Amino acid sequence: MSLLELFTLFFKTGVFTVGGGLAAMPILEEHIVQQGVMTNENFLSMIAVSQSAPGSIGVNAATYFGVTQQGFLGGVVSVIALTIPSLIVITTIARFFPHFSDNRVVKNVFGTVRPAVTGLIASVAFSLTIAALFTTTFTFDISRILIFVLILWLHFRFEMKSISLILVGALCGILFL
Amino acid sequence: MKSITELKALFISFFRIGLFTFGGGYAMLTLLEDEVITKRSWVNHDEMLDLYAIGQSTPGVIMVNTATFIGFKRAGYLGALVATVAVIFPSIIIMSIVATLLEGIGDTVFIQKALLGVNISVAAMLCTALLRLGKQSVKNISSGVILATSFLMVQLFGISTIVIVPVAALLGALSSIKTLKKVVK
Repeated sequence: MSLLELFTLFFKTGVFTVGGGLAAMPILEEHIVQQGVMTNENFLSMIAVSQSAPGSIGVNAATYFGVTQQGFLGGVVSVIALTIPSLIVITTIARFFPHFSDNRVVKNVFGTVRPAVTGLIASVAFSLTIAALFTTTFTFDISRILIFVLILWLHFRFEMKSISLILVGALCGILFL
Repeated sequence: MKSITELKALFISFFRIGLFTFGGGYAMLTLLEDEVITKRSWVNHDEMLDLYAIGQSTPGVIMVNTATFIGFKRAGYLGALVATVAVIFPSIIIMSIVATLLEGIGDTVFIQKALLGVNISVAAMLCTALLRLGKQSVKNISSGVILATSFLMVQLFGISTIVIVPVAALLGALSSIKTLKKVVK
Protein backbone atom coordinates (compact mmCIF):
# COMPACT_ATOMS: atom_id res chain seq x y z
CA MET A 1 0.00 0.00 0.00
CA SER A 2 1.20 3.47 -0.78
CA LEU A 3 1.36 6.25 1.77
CA LEU A 4 -1.74 7.80 0.31
CA GLU A 5 -3.61 4.50 0.49
CA LEU A 6 -2.48 4.08 4.08
CA PHE A 7 -3.70 7.54 4.92
CA THR A 8 -7.08 6.97 3.31
CA LEU A 9 -7.55 3.59 4.93
CA PHE A 10 -6.77 4.75 8.44
CA PHE A 11 -8.65 8.01 8.09
CA LYS A 12 -11.72 5.97 7.14
CA THR A 13 -11.01 3.64 10.04
CA GLY A 14 -10.72 6.58 12.39
CA VAL A 15 -14.13 7.85 11.35
CA PHE A 16 -15.97 4.57 11.74
CA THR A 17 -14.29 3.12 14.80
CA VAL A 18 -16.87 3.82 17.45
CA GLY A 19 -16.75 2.44 20.95
CA GLY A 20 -13.26 1.11 21.38
CA GLY A 21 -10.25 0.05 19.36
CA LEU A 22 -11.67 -3.38 18.66
CA ALA A 23 -14.23 -1.74 16.37
CA ALA A 24 -11.39 -0.93 14.00
CA MET A 25 -10.87 -4.63 13.27
CA PRO A 26 -13.85 -5.14 10.95
CA ILE A 27 -12.83 -2.28 8.67
CA LEU A 28 -9.20 -3.29 8.70
CA GLU A 29 -10.02 -6.93 8.03
CA GLU A 30 -12.15 -5.88 5.10
CA HIS A 31 -9.55 -3.68 3.51
CA ILE A 32 -6.43 -5.55 4.43
CA VAL A 33 -7.23 -9.25 4.42
CA GLN A 34 -10.07 -9.37 1.92
CA GLN A 35 -8.08 -7.22 -0.47
CA GLY A 36 -5.23 -9.66 -0.20
CA VAL A 37 -2.70 -7.27 1.30
CA MET A 38 -2.19 -9.53 4.29
CA THR A 39 -3.14 -13.10 5.07
CA ASN A 40 -5.56 -14.01 7.86
CA GLU A 41 -2.65 -15.44 9.80
CA ASN A 42 -0.54 -12.31 9.59
CA PHE A 43 -3.54 -10.22 10.45
CA LEU A 44 -4.13 -12.28 13.59
CA SER A 45 -0.48 -11.91 14.53
CA MET A 46 -0.80 -8.19 14.06
CA ILE A 47 -3.76 -8.11 16.43
CA ALA A 48 -1.79 -10.20 18.90
CA VAL A 49 1.11 -7.80 18.94
CA SER A 50 -1.17 -4.76 19.01
CA GLN A 51 -3.01 -6.17 21.97
CA SER A 52 0.12 -7.06 23.92
CA ALA A 53 2.03 -3.85 23.47
CA PRO A 54 1.25 -0.83 25.62
CA GLY A 55 -1.27 1.56 24.21
CA SER A 56 -4.52 1.19 22.42
CA ILE A 57 -5.03 -1.72 20.04
CA GLY A 58 -6.17 0.57 17.25
CA VAL A 59 -3.17 2.88 17.45
CA ASN A 60 -0.79 -0.07 17.68
CA ALA A 61 -2.33 -1.87 14.74
CA ALA A 62 -2.15 1.29 12.63
CA THR A 63 1.53 1.76 13.41
CA TYR A 64 2.33 -1.89 12.85
CA PHE A 65 0.58 -2.13 9.53
CA GLY A 66 1.93 1.20 8.35
CA VAL A 67 5.47 0.08 9.16
CA THR A 68 5.07 -3.19 7.26
CA GLN A 69 3.94 -1.25 4.22
CA GLN A 70 6.09 1.86 4.17
CA GLY A 71 8.50 1.69 7.06
CA PHE A 72 8.56 4.17 9.90
CA LEU A 73 7.00 6.94 7.82
CA GLY A 74 4.15 4.59 6.94
CA GLY A 75 3.58 3.94 10.61
CA VAL A 76 3.48 7.62 11.45
CA VAL A 77 1.17 8.49 8.55
CA SER A 78 -1.22 5.68 9.50
CA VAL A 79 -1.49 6.74 13.14
CA ILE A 80 -1.94 10.39 12.28
CA ALA A 81 -4.65 9.50 9.77
CA LEU A 82 -6.38 7.38 12.39
CA THR A 83 -6.28 10.16 14.95
CA ILE A 84 -7.36 13.17 12.88
CA PRO A 85 -11.11 12.40 12.72
CA SER A 86 -11.42 11.94 16.46
CA LEU A 87 -9.29 15.00 17.16
CA ILE A 88 -11.72 17.08 15.13
CA VAL A 89 -14.86 15.49 16.55
CA ILE A 90 -13.76 15.56 20.17
CA THR A 91 -12.50 19.15 20.18
CA THR A 92 -15.74 20.22 18.50
CA ILE A 93 -17.80 18.44 21.10
CA ALA A 94 -15.67 19.79 23.93
CA ARG A 95 -16.05 23.31 22.59
CA PHE A 96 -19.66 23.43 21.46
CA PHE A 97 -21.58 20.59 23.03
CA PRO A 98 -21.05 20.48 26.77
CA HIS A 99 -24.04 18.22 27.35
CA PHE A 100 -23.21 15.78 24.58
CA SER A 101 -23.57 12.59 26.59
CA ASP A 102 -26.88 13.68 28.10
CA ASN A 103 -28.49 14.30 24.75
CA ARG A 104 -31.36 11.93 23.97
CA VAL A 105 -30.57 11.63 20.27
CA VAL A 106 -26.98 10.75 21.07
CA LYS A 107 -28.12 8.10 23.52
CA ASN A 108 -30.46 6.58 20.95
CA VAL A 109 -27.81 6.59 18.26
CA PHE A 110 -25.43 4.98 20.69
CA GLY A 111 -28.06 2.37 21.43
CA THR A 112 -28.25 1.27 17.83
CA VAL A 113 -24.65 1.74 16.75
CA ARG A 114 -23.22 -0.28 19.59
CA PRO A 115 -24.99 -3.57 18.82
CA ALA A 116 -24.36 -3.03 15.12
CA VAL A 117 -20.63 -2.67 15.76
CA THR A 118 -20.71 -5.71 18.02
CA GLY A 119 -22.29 -7.62 15.15
CA LEU A 120 -19.43 -6.51 12.93
CA ILE A 121 -16.88 -7.64 15.48
CA ALA A 122 -18.76 -10.94 15.70
CA SER A 123 -18.33 -11.31 11.97
CA VAL A 124 -14.60 -10.70 12.16
CA ALA A 125 -14.23 -12.99 15.17
CA PHE A 126 -16.06 -15.69 13.25
CA SER A 127 -13.89 -15.37 10.12
CA LEU A 128 -10.64 -15.18 12.05
CA THR A 129 -11.51 -18.11 14.31
CA ILE A 130 -12.20 -20.29 11.29
CA ALA A 131 -8.92 -19.13 9.77
CA ALA A 132 -6.98 -19.91 12.94
CA LEU A 133 -8.50 -23.30 13.59
CA PHE A 134 -8.59 -24.75 10.12
CA THR A 135 -5.82 -24.94 7.58
CA THR A 136 -6.34 -23.65 4.06
CA THR A 137 -7.46 -27.06 2.95
CA PHE A 138 -10.10 -27.09 5.68
CA THR A 139 -8.69 -30.17 7.31
CA PHE A 140 -9.72 -30.83 10.85
CA ASP A 141 -6.86 -30.25 13.24
CA ILE A 142 -7.70 -31.41 16.74
CA SER A 143 -4.61 -29.91 18.35
CA ARG A 144 -5.60 -26.42 17.25
CA ILE A 145 -9.07 -26.83 18.65
CA LEU A 146 -7.66 -28.12 21.92
CA ILE A 147 -5.42 -25.08 22.23
CA PHE A 148 -8.42 -22.88 21.50
CA VAL A 149 -10.41 -24.53 24.26
CA LEU A 150 -7.44 -24.31 26.62
CA ILE A 151 -7.17 -20.57 26.12
CA LEU A 152 -10.88 -20.12 26.70
CA TRP A 153 -10.64 -22.17 29.87
CA LEU A 154 -7.65 -20.21 31.16
CA HIS A 155 -9.49 -17.00 30.52
CA PHE A 156 -12.73 -17.95 32.22
CA ARG A 157 -11.33 -20.02 35.05
CA PHE A 158 -8.29 -17.96 36.01
CA GLU A 159 -9.03 -14.59 34.40
CA MET A 160 -5.63 -14.71 32.79
CA LYS A 161 -4.52 -11.50 31.14
CA SER A 162 -4.19 -11.04 27.40
CA ILE A 163 -0.41 -11.07 27.32
CA SER A 164 -0.24 -14.29 29.33
CA LEU A 165 -2.80 -15.91 27.06
CA ILE A 166 -0.82 -14.94 24.00
CA LEU A 167 2.37 -16.32 25.52
CA VAL A 168 0.62 -19.58 26.37
CA GLY A 169 -0.59 -19.72 22.80
CA ALA A 170 2.92 -19.19 21.50
CA LEU A 171 4.26 -21.91 23.76
CA CYS A 172 1.56 -24.35 22.69
CA GLY A 173 2.28 -23.51 19.10
CA ILE A 174 5.95 -24.34 19.49
CA LEU A 175 5.30 -27.51 21.45
CA PHE A 176 2.28 -29.01 19.76
CA LEU A 177 1.88 -27.62 16.27
CA MET B 1 -1.72 32.28 26.39
CA LYS B 2 -1.43 28.71 27.59
CA SER B 3 1.53 28.23 29.81
CA ILE B 4 4.35 25.95 28.79
CA THR B 5 4.16 24.25 32.18
CA GLU B 6 0.55 23.26 31.50
CA LEU B 7 1.47 21.77 28.14
CA LYS B 8 4.47 19.99 29.61
CA ALA B 9 2.27 18.51 32.35
CA LEU B 10 -0.22 17.31 29.75
CA PHE B 11 2.53 15.75 27.70
CA ILE B 12 4.15 13.96 30.61
CA SER B 13 0.90 12.61 32.04
CA PHE B 14 -0.48 11.34 28.79
CA PHE B 15 2.85 9.97 27.65
CA ARG B 16 2.87 7.94 30.83
CA ILE B 17 -0.68 6.76 30.23
CA GLY B 18 0.16 5.79 26.67
CA LEU B 19 3.25 3.95 27.86
CA PHE B 20 1.77 1.94 30.69
CA THR B 21 -1.66 1.06 29.44
CA PHE B 22 -1.59 -2.61 28.65
CA GLY B 23 -4.68 -4.24 27.25
CA GLY B 24 -6.74 -1.09 26.79
CA GLY B 25 -10.16 -0.42 28.25
CA TYR B 26 -10.32 -0.99 31.98
CA ALA B 27 -6.60 -1.05 32.47
CA MET B 28 -6.40 2.41 31.01
CA LEU B 29 -9.24 3.63 33.15
CA THR B 30 -7.39 2.90 36.40
CA LEU B 31 -4.18 4.45 35.18
CA LEU B 32 -6.07 7.42 33.81
CA GLU B 33 -7.85 8.00 37.08
CA ASP B 34 -4.64 7.80 39.04
CA GLU B 35 -2.92 10.28 36.82
CA VAL B 36 -5.71 12.67 35.98
CA ILE B 37 -7.92 12.66 39.05
CA THR B 38 -5.63 11.81 41.92
CA LYS B 39 -2.35 13.27 40.83
CA ARG B 40 -3.30 16.28 38.75
CA SER B 41 -6.87 16.99 39.78
CA TRP B 42 -7.76 17.81 36.21
CA VAL B 43 -11.18 16.19 36.42
CA ASN B 44 -13.31 14.57 39.11
CA HIS B 45 -14.95 11.15 39.08
CA ASP B 46 -18.26 12.27 37.61
CA GLU B 47 -16.57 14.10 34.78
CA MET B 48 -14.49 10.97 34.24
CA LEU B 49 -17.59 8.82 33.76
CA ASP B 50 -18.93 11.43 31.39
CA LEU B 51 -15.71 11.37 29.39
CA TYR B 52 -15.84 7.62 29.18
CA ALA B 53 -19.40 7.81 27.88
CA ILE B 54 -18.39 10.33 25.27
CA GLY B 55 -15.42 8.22 24.29
CA GLN B 56 -17.74 5.29 23.73
CA SER B 57 -20.17 7.12 21.47
CA THR B 58 -17.78 9.01 19.27
CA PRO B 59 -15.41 7.86 16.59
CA GLY B 60 -11.92 7.09 17.69
CA VAL B 61 -10.09 5.13 20.27
CA ILE B 62 -11.12 5.79 23.87
CA MET B 63 -7.63 6.37 25.16
CA VAL B 64 -6.98 8.98 22.49
CA ASN B 65 -10.38 10.62 22.83
CA THR B 66 -9.94 11.06 26.55
CA ALA B 67 -6.52 12.61 26.02
CA THR B 68 -7.91 14.98 23.40
CA PHE B 69 -10.80 16.00 25.60
CA ILE B 70 -8.81 16.65 28.75
CA GLY B 71 -6.07 18.34 26.76
CA PHE B 72 -8.65 20.67 25.24
CA LYS B 73 -10.21 21.39 28.61
CA ARG B 74 -6.85 22.33 30.11
CA ALA B 75 -5.25 24.20 27.25
CA GLY B 76 -7.54 24.59 24.27
CA TYR B 77 -6.70 23.27 20.81
CA LEU B 78 -2.98 23.23 21.47
CA GLY B 79 -3.54 21.25 24.66
CA ALA B 80 -5.70 18.76 22.76
CA LEU B 81 -2.93 18.32 20.21
CA VAL B 82 -0.17 17.94 22.78
CA ALA B 83 -2.12 15.42 24.87
CA THR B 84 -3.10 13.39 21.81
CA VAL B 85 0.44 13.26 20.44
CA ALA B 86 1.75 12.35 23.89
CA VAL B 87 -0.62 9.41 24.31
CA ILE B 88 0.14 7.85 20.92
CA PHE B 89 3.87 8.55 20.99
CA PRO B 90 4.92 5.45 22.99
CA SER B 91 2.84 3.24 20.71
CA ILE B 92 4.51 4.59 17.62
CA ILE B 93 8.00 3.99 18.94
CA ILE B 94 7.34 0.55 20.40
CA MET B 95 5.28 -0.79 17.53
CA SER B 96 7.74 0.44 14.93
CA ILE B 97 10.52 -1.45 16.66
CA VAL B 98 8.40 -4.57 17.08
CA ALA B 99 7.15 -4.52 13.49
CA THR B 100 10.65 -4.16 12.10
CA LEU B 101 11.97 -6.92 14.37
CA LEU B 102 9.21 -9.34 13.47
CA GLU B 103 9.72 -8.78 9.79
CA GLY B 104 13.34 -9.66 10.27
CA ILE B 105 12.96 -12.85 12.28
CA GLY B 106 9.52 -13.90 11.11
CA ASP B 107 10.68 -16.61 8.75
CA THR B 108 12.06 -19.18 11.13
CA VAL B 109 10.00 -22.33 11.73
CA PHE B 110 10.18 -21.60 15.44
CA ILE B 111 8.50 -18.24 15.07
CA GLN B 112 6.01 -19.61 12.56
CA LYS B 113 4.83 -22.25 14.99
CA ALA B 114 4.68 -19.77 17.84
CA LEU B 115 2.64 -17.39 15.71
CA LEU B 116 0.23 -20.16 14.77
CA GLY B 117 -0.39 -20.76 18.44
CA VAL B 118 -0.66 -17.03 19.03
CA ASN B 119 -3.28 -16.75 16.32
CA ILE B 120 -5.41 -19.34 18.04
CA SER B 121 -5.06 -17.40 21.28
CA VAL B 122 -6.12 -14.20 19.60
CA ALA B 123 -9.11 -15.90 18.01
CA ALA B 124 -10.14 -17.21 21.43
CA MET B 125 -9.65 -13.78 22.99
CA LEU B 126 -11.70 -12.15 20.28
CA CYS B 127 -14.50 -14.56 21.08
CA THR B 128 -14.37 -13.76 24.77
CA ALA B 129 -14.27 -10.02 24.05
CA LEU B 130 -17.24 -10.55 21.79
CA LEU B 131 -19.16 -12.26 24.59
CA ARG B 132 -18.49 -9.35 26.89
CA LEU B 133 -19.43 -6.77 24.26
CA GLY B 134 -22.52 -8.73 23.41
CA LYS B 135 -23.72 -8.67 27.00
CA GLN B 136 -23.02 -4.94 27.23
CA SER B 137 -24.60 -3.87 23.97
CA VAL B 138 -27.61 -6.16 23.76
CA LYS B 139 -30.13 -5.14 26.39
CA ASN B 140 -33.33 -5.94 24.58
CA ILE B 141 -34.71 -7.72 21.56
CA SER B 142 -34.23 -4.86 19.12
CA SER B 143 -30.53 -4.51 19.88
CA GLY B 144 -30.22 -8.27 19.54
CA VAL B 145 -31.85 -8.05 16.15
CA ILE B 146 -29.50 -5.24 15.13
CA LEU B 147 -26.51 -7.30 16.13
CA ALA B 148 -27.71 -10.34 14.23
CA THR B 149 -28.58 -8.27 11.19
CA SER B 150 -25.22 -6.57 10.95
CA PHE B 151 -23.48 -9.93 11.40
CA LEU B 152 -25.53 -11.48 8.62
CA MET B 153 -25.17 -8.49 6.34
CA VAL B 154 -21.42 -8.89 6.41
CA GLN B 155 -21.23 -12.69 6.32
CA LEU B 156 -23.92 -13.31 3.73
CA PHE B 157 -23.87 -10.19 1.60
CA GLY B 158 -20.40 -8.80 2.21
CA ILE B 159 -21.76 -5.37 3.06
CA SER B 160 -19.11 -3.01 4.28
CA THR B 161 -18.64 -1.59 7.77
CA ILE B 162 -18.70 1.82 6.17
CA VAL B 163 -22.31 1.26 5.22
CA ILE B 164 -23.48 -0.46 8.37
CA VAL B 165 -22.32 2.06 10.97
CA PRO B 166 -23.99 5.13 9.42
CA VAL B 167 -27.18 3.15 8.74
CA ALA B 168 -27.31 2.06 12.36
CA ALA B 169 -26.65 5.64 13.47
CA LEU B 170 -29.45 6.87 11.24
CA LEU B 171 -31.83 4.29 12.68
CA GLY B 172 -30.94 5.49 16.14
CA ALA B 173 -31.51 9.09 15.22
CA LEU B 174 -34.82 8.28 13.57
CA SER B 175 -36.02 6.42 16.63
CA SER B 176 -35.49 9.64 18.55
CA ILE B 177 -37.97 11.38 16.29
CA LYS B 178 -40.53 8.73 17.11
CA THR B 179 -40.09 9.30 20.82
CA LEU B 180 -40.33 13.05 20.35
CA LYS B 181 -43.51 12.63 18.35
CA LYS B 182 -45.01 10.55 21.13
CA VAL B 183 -44.16 13.25 23.64
CA VAL B 184 -45.70 15.96 21.45
CA LYS B 185 -48.91 13.95 21.09
